[in-house]
Amino acid sequence: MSKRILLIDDENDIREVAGISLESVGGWQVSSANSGHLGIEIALAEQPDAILLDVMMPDMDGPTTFARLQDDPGTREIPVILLTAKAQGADRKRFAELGVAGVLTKPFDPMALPGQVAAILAAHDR
Amino acid sequence: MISLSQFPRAVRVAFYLLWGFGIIGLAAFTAAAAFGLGNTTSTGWQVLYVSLHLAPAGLCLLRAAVVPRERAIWALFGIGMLLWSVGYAYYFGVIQGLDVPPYPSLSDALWLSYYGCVFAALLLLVRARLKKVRKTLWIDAVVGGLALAALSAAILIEPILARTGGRTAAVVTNMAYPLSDLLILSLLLGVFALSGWRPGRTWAILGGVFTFQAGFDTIYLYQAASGTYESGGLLDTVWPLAMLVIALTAWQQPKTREGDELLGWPALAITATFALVGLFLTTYDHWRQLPDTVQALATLTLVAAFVRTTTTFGDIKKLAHSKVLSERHDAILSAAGEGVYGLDPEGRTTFANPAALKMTGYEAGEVIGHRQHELVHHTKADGTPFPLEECPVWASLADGTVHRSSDDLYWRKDGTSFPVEYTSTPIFEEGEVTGAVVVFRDITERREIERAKDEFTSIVSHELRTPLTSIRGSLGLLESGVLGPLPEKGQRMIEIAVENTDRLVRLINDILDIERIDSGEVDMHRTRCDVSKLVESAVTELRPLATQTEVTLGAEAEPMAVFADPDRVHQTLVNLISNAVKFSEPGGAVRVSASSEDGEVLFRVRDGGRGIPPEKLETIFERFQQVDASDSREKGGTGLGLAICRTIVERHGGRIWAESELGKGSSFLFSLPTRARSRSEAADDPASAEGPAILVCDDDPAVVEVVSTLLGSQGYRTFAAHSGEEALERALAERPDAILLDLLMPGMSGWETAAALKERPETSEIPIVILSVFPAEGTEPLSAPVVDWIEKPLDEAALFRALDRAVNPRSAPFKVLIVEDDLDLAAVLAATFERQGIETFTTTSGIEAIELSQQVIPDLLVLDVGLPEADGFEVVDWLRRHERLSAMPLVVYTARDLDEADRARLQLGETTEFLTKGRITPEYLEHRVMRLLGRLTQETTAEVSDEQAHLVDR
Repeated sequence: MSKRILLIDDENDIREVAGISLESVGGWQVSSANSGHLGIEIALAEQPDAILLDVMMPDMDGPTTFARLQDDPGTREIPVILLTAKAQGADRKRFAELGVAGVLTKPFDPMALPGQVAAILAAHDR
Repeated sequence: MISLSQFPRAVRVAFYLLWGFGIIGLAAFTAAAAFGLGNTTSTGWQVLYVSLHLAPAGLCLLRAAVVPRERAIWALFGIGMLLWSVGYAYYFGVIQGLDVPPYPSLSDALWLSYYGCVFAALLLLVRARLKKVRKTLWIDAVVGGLALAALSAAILIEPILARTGGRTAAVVTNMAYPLSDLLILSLLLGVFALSGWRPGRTWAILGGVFTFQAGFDTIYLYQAASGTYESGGLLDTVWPLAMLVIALTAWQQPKTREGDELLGWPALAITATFALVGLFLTTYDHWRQLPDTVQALATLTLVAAFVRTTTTFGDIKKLAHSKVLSERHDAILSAAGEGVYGLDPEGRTTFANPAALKMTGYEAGEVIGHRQHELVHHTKADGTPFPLEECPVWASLADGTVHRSSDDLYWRKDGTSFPVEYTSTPIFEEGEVTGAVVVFRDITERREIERAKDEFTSIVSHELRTPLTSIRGSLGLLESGVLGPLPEKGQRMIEIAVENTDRLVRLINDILDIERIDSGEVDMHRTRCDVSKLVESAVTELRPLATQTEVTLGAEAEPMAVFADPDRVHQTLVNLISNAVKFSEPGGAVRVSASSEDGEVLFRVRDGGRGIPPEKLETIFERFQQVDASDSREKGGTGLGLAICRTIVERHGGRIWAESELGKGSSFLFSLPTRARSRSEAADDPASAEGPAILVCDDDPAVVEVVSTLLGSQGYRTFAAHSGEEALERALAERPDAILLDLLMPGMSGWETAAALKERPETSEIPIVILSVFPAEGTEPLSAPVVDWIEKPLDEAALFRALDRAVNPRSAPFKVLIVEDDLDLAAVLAATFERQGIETFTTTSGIEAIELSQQVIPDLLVLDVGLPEADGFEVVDWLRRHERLSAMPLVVYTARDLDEADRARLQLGETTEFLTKGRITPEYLEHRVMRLLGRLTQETTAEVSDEQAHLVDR
């Protein structure tokens, strides 16, 4: 059975491209949300196997969304991978300290993305 | 002398008349008194005597009338003299005729009024002539006078009192004359001191006059008291004479500030001596009656008081001056915008300027006397207490040198803090530290600006990356065929689009880079590059663009070497060429060339475009500067390209500039050094053309020659040595940056030479590279660490790599990443490396390895291919795609046998080695790793056995 992944990103185009990448190349089943709020709702309802979470979002940003997900026992166990354009050393360090399963940078290679996600999840599972 | 010609005739006549009368009259009286020419006590002479005083009085009053300046002063003198003469008139007319002349009488009052007028006039004169007299000086003058009076009273006045029988009025009158004289004299002394003992003419004369007068007043008092005074005698000439001299002074040109004439001293000295001698002679009888000791004491006390009073005036003047200076300094410090603290050797605040108090929220009283460190500098930024001993301010007090901090924290009274930078400078007095001055500045604003800049850059780059994500993603999907096949040309177009998107992403990264390069955070990875290859690859990259815009692109570059960061040079060339192409008309041509000039390589990109106006030739290299604002829209430029080029070129120690002719075209030129440069040289003088010095030691002269020539062609300086002894000598003399050492030499062998070099402190730090027919493994190790071991026949690239490492040593410890799922083995390997001072990271999976590699950027990777899920291969795939890590030395350490295909897949760059587990020891692995890292030591070489050497998979 194919795994489910939830994409949370306010950019429509990025959700679409990432979605196709994960689906066609990675064989994932993809849900998406355009905000942190909506994302949390869907996560609670669908219980995906992983969440790909954008960092820079208006209203509620990635780290805040992650914190909410962690707070809620219904979503606490779902591994979260941050997807961010901020690739500065200081930022990366900050993200790593949050406790997410991994961090991927934008722009991504759509052919490599599913593999990267899988690798992170595999490492997380161990 | 005041010029008389300015006055009307009447005045001049009066002037001469009064003088004539005064002088002649006085002369007559003097003659009469001296030679007994007539009875000077007769009425006629008395009338003459009285009117004699009218002459100076008239002169003073006349002067006051006609010269407006200092009018009041001379009027007072005149009035006083008038009163004096009236007093005499009264005395002669009334008192003398009485049977019992009263004492004191109206005459005395009139005469004493003269003194009063004089004192008042002198005060006014002081105020007029000496602008900076402090109020306290008056007190000093009075005190001085009184002191003199008191002392002299005991000795000189006592007999006078004795003879007058002690009636109050009489006593007071008797005291009043000498006291008045003393007060006047004290005032004059004070003036002399205030004027720096260089009184002008007026003061000098007045000083002389009143000393003279004081002396004779005393003589008169003695004579009067002892009944020896004779009216009409020579003594009587003194007063009119004195007054005439005063009148003379009146007609001196008034000045606001007295000049530098030194007339005063001689006049004063002579007069004083005369008066004192006269005084002494007259009172000699009385003197002799005093006991000797009293006489001596009295004299000494008088002299001491005299001296002290005069020196006091000098001290006061200095005090006044220093007070002025101090006030001026205070004004400066108060106006300063920076905070200034003065500290004593214990670190207690002695002074704080208003800015310092304002910034820290304290009052002066709360701060003075307290330790500055405890008040404002007590806690570090992380909340831990800041010990006094670590404080740079304390250090400057302790060691007497200037200490600075560019990033520290001060605490306000209200508990808030603010970032500061400060400098602490010790103060010395006679070689001892007597305190310090701390100057500090609030750098909150600067921090804000820096932070805002960082944030801006971060946000902007994010904004750029976001749309690029969609572009890259969609193009990548199209390219991959996962969405269906594309026509051939379509596929090609998509490929180009993907490539260029990637380039765009790199550009954004570079924009961030430029910030960090500029601020010095990023190092250029300089290495030997082939110029022709660099030019070729840049041209190739831009050929599509050139074709598209119908611009001919030509290149000519000889295969030269340059010492630079290839990526950055590529970036620069691409930038310049793309500019040239963009700004050329269709049908135009762009030519790229590189030539060797003067020890540099000169790159030139020439176009036939519209040219650049001369005033812009410099400014275009600045950020966000375009020749024309419309360019950014049309040509898609960011305005940063040339700025980045400049930063890169300048970091290499080169120069970049543009030449252009409007309408004809432009040339962009930049130079890069050809030679390798040791770090210290690059730091000192980027324009110097000397490369690092290498000592080449081999007993075979052919080898030395070949190697020296080879090194020379790359800009190294070489010294030759044909024996160990010679090498030692030359190393000591020349201090080369590195030594290439042969092992097998007659006499002193390579081993012995290395040992000898390490023994001497002057040469022990010089890195050694072994150049030998023997391989590193299996050969007896050296007693000292060597940078590398190059086997003959030599591999040029390896040699230069080794030399580069030797000449540019790294200071940070090496980082090695071990990817091994057998935890025990991983631990053993880690321990082995850590013994060598290498930072080791271990991970048990490929994914973790990828992640860690991104975070840590290791210098070498030890990879067990036999990881679960076969992701060792994936790791290498990923590494190969990573810009920086694709050239990382890799040691594939696996139990598996690897076939050709596997090896090909695992080959990462030139420095991949394959070692089989179970056949080699961890120590051997360590040896190979160390060798790859460029640090061979005794232990690593020694632990290699011959047997194992044969088991190296190559």
